[in-house]
Amino acid sequence: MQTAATAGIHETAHHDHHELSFVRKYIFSTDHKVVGVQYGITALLFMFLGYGLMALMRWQLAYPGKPIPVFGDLLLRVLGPDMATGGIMSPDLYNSFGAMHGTIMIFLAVVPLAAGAFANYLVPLQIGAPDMAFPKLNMMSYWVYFVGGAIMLASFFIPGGAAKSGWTSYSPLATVADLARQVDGQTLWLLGMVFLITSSLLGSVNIITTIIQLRAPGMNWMRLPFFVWAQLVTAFLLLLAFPPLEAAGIMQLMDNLFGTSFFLPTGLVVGGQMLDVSGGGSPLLWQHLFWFLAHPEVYVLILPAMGIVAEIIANNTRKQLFGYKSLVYASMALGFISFLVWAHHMYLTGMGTKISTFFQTTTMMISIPSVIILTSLFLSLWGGSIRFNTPMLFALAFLPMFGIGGLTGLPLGFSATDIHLHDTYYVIGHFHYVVAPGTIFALFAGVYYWFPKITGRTMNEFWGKVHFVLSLIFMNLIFMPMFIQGLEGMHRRMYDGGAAYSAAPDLAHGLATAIKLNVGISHAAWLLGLAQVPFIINFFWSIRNGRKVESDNPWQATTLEWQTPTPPPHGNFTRPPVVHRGPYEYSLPGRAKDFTPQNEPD
Amino acid sequence: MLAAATPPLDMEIPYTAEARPDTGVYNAKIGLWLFLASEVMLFGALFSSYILLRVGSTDWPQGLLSVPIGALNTFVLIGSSITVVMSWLALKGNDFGKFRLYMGSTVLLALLFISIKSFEYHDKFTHYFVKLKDGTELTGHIEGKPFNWSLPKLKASANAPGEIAFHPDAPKRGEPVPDSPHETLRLPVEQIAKLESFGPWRNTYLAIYFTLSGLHALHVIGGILVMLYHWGAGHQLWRKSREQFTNRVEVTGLYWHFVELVWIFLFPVMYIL
Amino acid sequence: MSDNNSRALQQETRRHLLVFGAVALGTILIVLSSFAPLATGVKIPVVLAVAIAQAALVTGFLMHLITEKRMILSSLVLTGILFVALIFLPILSEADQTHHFLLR
Ligand code: HEM
Ligand SMILES: [Cu+2]
Repeated sequence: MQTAATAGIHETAHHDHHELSFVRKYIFSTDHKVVGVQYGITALLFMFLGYGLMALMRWQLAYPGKPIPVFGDLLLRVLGPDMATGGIMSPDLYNSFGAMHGTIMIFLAVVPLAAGAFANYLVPLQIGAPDMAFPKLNMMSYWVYFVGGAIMLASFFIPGGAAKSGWTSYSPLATVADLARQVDGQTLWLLGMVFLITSSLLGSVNIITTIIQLRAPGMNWMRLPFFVWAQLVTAFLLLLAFPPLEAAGIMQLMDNLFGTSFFLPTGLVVGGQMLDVSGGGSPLLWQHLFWFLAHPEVYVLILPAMGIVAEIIANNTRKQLFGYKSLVYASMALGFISFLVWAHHMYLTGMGTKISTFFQTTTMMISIPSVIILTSLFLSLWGGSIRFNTPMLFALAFLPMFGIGGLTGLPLGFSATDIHLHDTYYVIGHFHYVVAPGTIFALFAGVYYWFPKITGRTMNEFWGKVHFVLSLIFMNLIFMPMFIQGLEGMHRRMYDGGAAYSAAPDLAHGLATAIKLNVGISHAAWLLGLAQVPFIINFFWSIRNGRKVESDNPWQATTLEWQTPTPPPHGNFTRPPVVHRGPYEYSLPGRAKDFTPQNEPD
Repeated sequence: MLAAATPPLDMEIPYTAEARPDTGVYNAKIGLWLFLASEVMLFGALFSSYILLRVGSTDWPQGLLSVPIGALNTFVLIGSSITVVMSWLALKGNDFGKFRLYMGSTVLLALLFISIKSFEYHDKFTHYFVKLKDGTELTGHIEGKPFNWSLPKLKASANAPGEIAFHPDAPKRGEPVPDSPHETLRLPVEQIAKLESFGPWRNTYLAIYFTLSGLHALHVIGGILVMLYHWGAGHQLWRKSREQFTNRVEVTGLYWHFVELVWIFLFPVMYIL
Repeated sequence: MSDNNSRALQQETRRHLLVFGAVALGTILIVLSSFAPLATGVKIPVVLAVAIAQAALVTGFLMHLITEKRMILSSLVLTGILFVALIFLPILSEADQTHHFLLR
């Protein structure tokens, strides 16, 4: 029986128009849903890799200089004795892994998942469109991302290893880190970034055009689900913030390959030798251009997450979002101001007081829309009859986790306090609260929530809850102690996790204790990995064996993606949808059902 | 219930040819303008870098590029951006032959631009800076106009010459005239401490010049390819949907104007100021 | 009807040729100014002003921005603001750092 029904589902997807070959349907597909799933799977794999790198680094931080059990041998064999003599992580390897953990997590995992996978799959469905405005560009966007990722991966295996200068790639460090080689990890990093930027350009042009042009009849701006708004703002951020990094990347590539001095100052001495370059460049120029992208990038990481959380909260409280309009305007304000705060990462570069005041002001201003969004989402819970299913649990946990991340950012926004906290583990704790228990929880919520639409089956609730509880515990056990370490002055990007501090004769007691926290943090990090096992098994098992959904709209939701067949066929809708109402018409009085889909006439 | 009773909509993306009533535009036009917006930020970052590098420099080289040649190239590009509009107007007037004429001329002008540009580039790579071990610094040309030599390359070459014949540049206005101008100097290779052409490595001015103009040239080449495609394979789409083809030519024109726009700033900034 | 159409096209053609003339004139002015004995402090604003005028002609008339739809214009206004930030904030912070006269 089951097989017959499954076949039924698949038939809808397959039998419309001429049969496409396997390659055109699943590999070089122009269907936004296939592209979305491709993005999703690739990004999840990269996230796993990004975690794996950090899991290995955490061994070195907890037990500096000790061979890594099991994996040390593997590293030795794969990367050679330069990188892991006797299974011990070398300083260069630590630097490579650190830089690539950041790069992979941000540019290859979270952004492609949030703004690639979810946006691609859901935006056309939620606005009632048959596909994206430019399906071929959409396919290209994925494949260009894929090539960028492949280049980044390849860079681990070239002589000298992957990029070592942090995900920020500050010049001159990034240029002089590996002077002996013309083509080094940094070169491939830059090349890979050019591909990733191109991919995100294609994607963002597509998303914006789709939202502007392909909204179904009746889907006016204030009827868009908040998720779509969040993706629209995100796409604008990607569109306009990435190009300056591309320009900077081209210039750094010139510095590395052709001996220019864009970012190399006059009189630069490396290893006791004056560098033979023309000089006259500006290291601060790199920082300006890098952070012009990288601050808006933070909101690229967080806005889609907010969008996902908003959808799930509205659905599981069975009521309107509190202050839909203020959510929309706040996200626009957030997007706009995020372009004007970047130099708060540069307070310690000797910045003058006037400009510093400007950036402190804008940084404080940007917290207003963030607070509006968070408050609206919190207040949306008020008086709801909440369903505590797995997606909702993750969405609910997002709120305080993001709250902690946001609030701990305030001291970093003032130059006076930032002098103490800059480049310490406090910063690591702060932004990980935003992106790890924050964004990643929202992404998990999204996976659990939309899984039934994509596969026609639900994921197991019990194991979902296990996954949730364990993840919540370990995430906090990892990142909360980092605040303490940072406040005590422990620096980030340290190969030995601060062990060298203990050589100091007058080591502060607090710092000595803070260093000891490394062991606990590392164990929590490894356990966090274990806590993902239920998720991974649940995910793959449910694709084939999960409980089948009894309707196209198992969560009884109002937005359009649930008004399609399951999974949606090529072209999405069986009838062109016409929209009659706002996105969250739950519990309207005097109706039989407690939800009224957007396409239901009055 | 799961399997849809009615067959799915035949997949047609709306507004590829006609404008959407409430926004008033077709898809490709929005898409192209968004692309141009990101290009504005790309070139904006490079111009911003130019300003920062220039303001932070102790002496900014001037007069390294020939103004007449740059001006000529500017006229070529302005001309091409008129012919591209004309080709679009020709389509609006339903005259495919005229379209081809104008589109063809645009491509030819663009090719002319690239040729002139590569001539200028070549000029830079055959112009040299030499520093002798006694500290003397010279700029000029090497006999035989070799392309992009450097000291290591020179020493490594199979039939490495013992000396090079060097024609120093004429002194600029205001500089002291050397004792024997326009004389060919014979420089023994072992006396040379540094030898490099006026490539991007020479100074930050040339670095940003090559980067900006090189990126611009890539945009020109991209434009040439697209326009050639319209010129050649355009027939089919024109026959299938005149409106869509006209739209494509319109957005290609928009792109081409942007390429010209960048040059409008590049020319004064790099050649004049 | 078709006659009307072709007259409108003719008019458009004439307008575009006029713009071509004006932009070319701008380039001539810029070239002339490069030979004129102007102080750098004067030359830079003059030349840039001409270039901006040329740019306005190209975007306004050749790219038809003066009659473009609101959707596109508003995206471009946003881009313009960010462009200005990108150009000026780095240079202002450099000026602030070095106590340049701009920000004393
Ligand atoms: C989920 C488990 C994660 C753990 C245990 C973890 C742990 C860490 C630690 C300990 C560092 C500091 C390394 C050092 O300074 O030497 C770090 C750096 C970093 N992490 Fe994570 N992280 C996780 C997830 C993420 C995610 C999801 C993102 C981004 C979306 C991310 C982005 C970064 C970045 C950008 C850096 C800075 C890299 C650099 O110094 O250049 N991490 N992470
Ligand atoms: Cu920031």
